[in-house]
Amino acid sequence: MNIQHVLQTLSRNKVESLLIGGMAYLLNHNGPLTYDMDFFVRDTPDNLSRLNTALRELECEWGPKEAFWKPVAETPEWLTWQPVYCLTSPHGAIDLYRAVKGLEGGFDACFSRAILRPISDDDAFFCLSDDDMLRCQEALPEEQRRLNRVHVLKEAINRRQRVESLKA
Amino acid sequence: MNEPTESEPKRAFTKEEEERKRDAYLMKHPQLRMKIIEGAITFAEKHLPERLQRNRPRRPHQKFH
Repeated sequence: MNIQHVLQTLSRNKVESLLIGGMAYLLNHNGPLTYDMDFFVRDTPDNLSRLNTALRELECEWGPKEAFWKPVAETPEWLTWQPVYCLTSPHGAIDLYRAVKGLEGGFDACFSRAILRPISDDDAFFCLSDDDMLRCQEALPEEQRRLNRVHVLKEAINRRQRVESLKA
Repeated sequence: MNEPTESEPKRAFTKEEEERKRDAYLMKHPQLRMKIIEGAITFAEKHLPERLQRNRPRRPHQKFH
């Protein structure tokens, strides 16, 4: 997995996206190793077009059925067919979300709360905030929630709120 | 409204269905599967060594099957 290359390719193509899911949690906290990268993308025609260009640079492949798995199309229309896509690429498995359960406030609201993390000396990417990661967990049926993740996120949010109240 | 093309799904797949479809593809392409798994472990060893010690990665056979 070359997460830095994936993030830099998205950034270079000016794709508006947020790193979410297990990789975002792993980078911000302490979680099990994950084998894919999940991205919440802004669902606009221009952004999906830039995303499609980035996915082609990353040699991503997808198929509406397993039998039709192939390099992603030259044009971005396929990105409007579904709310979620699970792709393969030589740089890692990539999951794309146009909408995320628990984040019904939409991409812009999440983006305003996102955490900026450096990729290199002159580039950075946005990670989903702890509050929004917790919203995602709480939107799941109880039996599907990762209880340790919920606990860690609540602790982190409480810690941050205590620091904020001391500063106020 | 346009008719769906031959390659357009008749309905939207859920996340679980999408994952199953990708996993099925990867099971038939072991080189790519191992590249993804080894890449993830290399990433963790390089960038998150302290966390990796406390959180042993799931073994490759526990993923993508």
